[in-house]
Amino acid sequence: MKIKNLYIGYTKTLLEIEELNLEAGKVYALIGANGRGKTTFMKSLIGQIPSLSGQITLDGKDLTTLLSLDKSKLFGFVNSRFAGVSYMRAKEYVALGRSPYTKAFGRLSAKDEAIVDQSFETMEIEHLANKFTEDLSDGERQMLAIAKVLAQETEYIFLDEPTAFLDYSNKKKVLQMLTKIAKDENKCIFYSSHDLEMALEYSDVKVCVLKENNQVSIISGKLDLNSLLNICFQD
Amino acid sequence: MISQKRNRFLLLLLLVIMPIAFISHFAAGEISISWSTFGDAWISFDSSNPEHIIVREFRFPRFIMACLAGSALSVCGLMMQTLFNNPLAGPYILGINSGSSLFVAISLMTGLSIFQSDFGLVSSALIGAFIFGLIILSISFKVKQGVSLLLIGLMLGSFSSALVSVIQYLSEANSLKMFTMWIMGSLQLVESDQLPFISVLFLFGMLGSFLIIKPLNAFVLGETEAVLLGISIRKIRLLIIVFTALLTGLITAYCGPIAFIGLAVPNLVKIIFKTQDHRILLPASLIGGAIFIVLCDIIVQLTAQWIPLPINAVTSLIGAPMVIYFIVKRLAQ
Amino acid sequence: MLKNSRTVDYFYNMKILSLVLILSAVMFSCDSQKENDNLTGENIVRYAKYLRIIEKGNLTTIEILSPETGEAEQTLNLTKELVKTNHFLQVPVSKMAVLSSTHVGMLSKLNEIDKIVGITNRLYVFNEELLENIEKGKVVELGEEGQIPVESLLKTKCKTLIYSGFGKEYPYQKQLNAAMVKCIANYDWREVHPLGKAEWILLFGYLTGKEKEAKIYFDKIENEYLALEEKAKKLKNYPTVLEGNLFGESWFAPAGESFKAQLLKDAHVHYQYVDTKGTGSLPLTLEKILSDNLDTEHWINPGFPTKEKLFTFHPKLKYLGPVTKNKIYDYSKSGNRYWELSAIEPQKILSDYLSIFHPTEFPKKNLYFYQEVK
Repeated sequence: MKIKNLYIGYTKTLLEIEELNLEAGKVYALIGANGRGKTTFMKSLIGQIPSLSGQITLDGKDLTTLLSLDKSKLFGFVNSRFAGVSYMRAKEYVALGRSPYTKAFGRLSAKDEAIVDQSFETMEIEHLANKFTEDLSDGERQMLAIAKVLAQETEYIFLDEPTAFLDYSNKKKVLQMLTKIAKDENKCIFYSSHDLEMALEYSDVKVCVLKENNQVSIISGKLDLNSLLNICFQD
Repeated sequence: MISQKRNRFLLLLLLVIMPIAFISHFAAGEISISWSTFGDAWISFDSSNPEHIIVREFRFPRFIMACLAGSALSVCGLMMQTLFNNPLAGPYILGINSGSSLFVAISLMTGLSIFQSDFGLVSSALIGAFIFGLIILSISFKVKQGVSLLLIGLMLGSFSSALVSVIQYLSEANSLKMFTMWIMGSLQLVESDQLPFISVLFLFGMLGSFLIIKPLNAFVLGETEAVLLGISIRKIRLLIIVFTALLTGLITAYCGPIAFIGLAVPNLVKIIFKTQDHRILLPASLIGGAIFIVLCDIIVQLTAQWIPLPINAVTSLIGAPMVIYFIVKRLAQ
Repeated sequence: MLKNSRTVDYFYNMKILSLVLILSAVMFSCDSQKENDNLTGENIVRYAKYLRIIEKGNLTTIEILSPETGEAEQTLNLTKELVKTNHFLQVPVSKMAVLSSTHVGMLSKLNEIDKIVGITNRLYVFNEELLENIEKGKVVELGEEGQIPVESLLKTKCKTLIYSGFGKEYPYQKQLNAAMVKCIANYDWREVHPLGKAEWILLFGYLTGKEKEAKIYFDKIENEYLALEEKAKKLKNYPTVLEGNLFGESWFAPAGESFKAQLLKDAHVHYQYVDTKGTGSLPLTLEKILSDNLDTEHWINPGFPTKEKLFTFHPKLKYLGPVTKNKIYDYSKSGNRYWELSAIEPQKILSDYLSIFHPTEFPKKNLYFYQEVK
């Protein structure tokens, strides 16, 4: 995905970025203070919110020319919290990730079933398959949400503060999974976080929302906690 | 998965109960009629034989109408609950039913000439549902979130109810009596020669609902999630509203408003079948709704000799405890 | 010796107090004496079960009996003299509010329409003089029986309010009594015998000072009614009749001991459910009505003036026996007229019935209340 001169927002510009290329196999961490517009930024990248100006292209094709169905095969999006759905089992939930590919009535072919099972395996949550989503813990549900997006077989996976509601060990677990998925499945993982330590450790590229203006840019070089704090957060 | 096998078994069970329901319903009538008479009424109809008339003009249309009404209202209730992500939604929540009531009130209780003689009650109700359906449809294009549509539907419903109250207040005794009876709801008004027309429209609405099972499943996760899965919200919303308006408008036109079924049956089905998959929920609501209302009508028939109960009273009296029972049972697990 | 002024006051007050006490005791015993005298007077009411009128010189006592207990629910002491307390009611009453159509009908027969200052709703009025008075603003519309606006009523300065009794005190009765408005329960609607219902005209007669005219009128219609009844007894055939209509999921047919059933009995017809108990209606299924009444010739009081309205109401009614035989009669073409006058002209209802059901013996001249439903 190539992004050039992008201005995002609703009526006024919230954030702008000069250039950003998202490549497969890499993990990108979007870091910035609360309320700066990180969620809006990601939703603009996947075409859910129209951007104010600029260009987003995928393999040369402009994002705005893509249909809803095409986008659903390219982008997966995970929210910070999945509260569960009443009367829905984990397997049913993950199977919904196959919606862009299934035919009439949403029936799953053998291949679809296999992909769903594989998603459970990858996230190491096979034991949860028959449980009701409401009966799971927050951490388990978050793993489930990622499994669903995996079943969606998208090149890009966007996650909005995926570890915000998780405890320490689960945070690590999720981010380790994401790193593994990026490498093994050659996907592009893009997530936002305000947990600086985790973001530092579990990402290849740091995309920062600068504290002094609306700019978003990649920060390279040797970074540590303090430097990140300085760049993105007010004193 | 065990749950899938179990659900298939339960669906089959529901199918098996249908003919039993039919037999019980027929037998519950006050005049006992033998099964051979039943057969004769179809094979060699004698219009002077009162038993034949009862079979063909009273019992049969009543049973068919009950099934169609129960199915249609339950399926529409299910779609409304999915569309708005709200288990408290029912088929009347968009206010389309109030359109029928309003037009029936106008045609019965005001002296407005456009609505006299050429337009029967049925036509008035259908026109009312159609107009209100159009209003809701055009609004649905303009709103972004489903919640706004819900609120507008509720306001539309309240507004027309208020208008109806005013009309009632100003009307004379006889017309008021006719309207009051209509609004109590009854499965007995429909005539056998109206059944083909009703069935055709019913089938059309039902088939349409079945065709959107996949998007409905996506809607369960919420509108934003559904978009991410590639569903066109506007298009599906439009289809849901069209089919709901058609089916509920149809039932209201021939039976008057029937309460509770559209709300209770989809919830009961979800509790019993423990799934959100509309491939199970839709047929289960269809058959379950029919069985439920036939059961209520059996009670109406059995008690008719002592206490005359309108169908609306029975659906709520039976339905509410059932729902409470299942919820409590589930909470205990 | 010089009496202390305080002591003087004390004795003086004691004298006044004892005087008052003695006087009250005398008055009280006088009243109770009068009451005792009245209760041994004769009741002049002959058919009405819930009305008792006892005349004693200048004083008339009217008792309204409760249909549930048979005891006097209300006692009215009427007098032509000026009264200051609520214990008596001064007659003739110059202004009254009446809450039922039957009351209007009875007053119309006594030519006392101008005494009416309050009714429920003009939509139900048939009497032309009353309608004119309403137009002129002389009569106030009070709305539904149980929920009248009390202030509007007090503005009319009426002396009595007559309502359909329901076993309890009229709502606002206490306030109305305090404003010297007497609330009178009327149980004409509970009377089962047609003449019993009509006899309540006597109540209105006494209230308006026209008791003589009321008695004359009642005697006249009593004679007419009984004469018709006698003639009917000599009839040979018993045509079959169905009465009532659907309401909701059930058909309501008059029960065997009701007013409507009594009229049918007196008209010498066979009514299917004449042997049932109760004074109200029986709920029956349409199927049962259909199969019980296959050969029934007549249908009376379906509640609709035309067949079109009848079948719009419920299309399945067309399968009923009398419909196919074409003999349906109803009064709803002039419903208000029926509701006002039917109670006070039962002989005309009976006459209509006899013309409808026995056309050869009682040729159909102009039916008074009824019309064929076409």
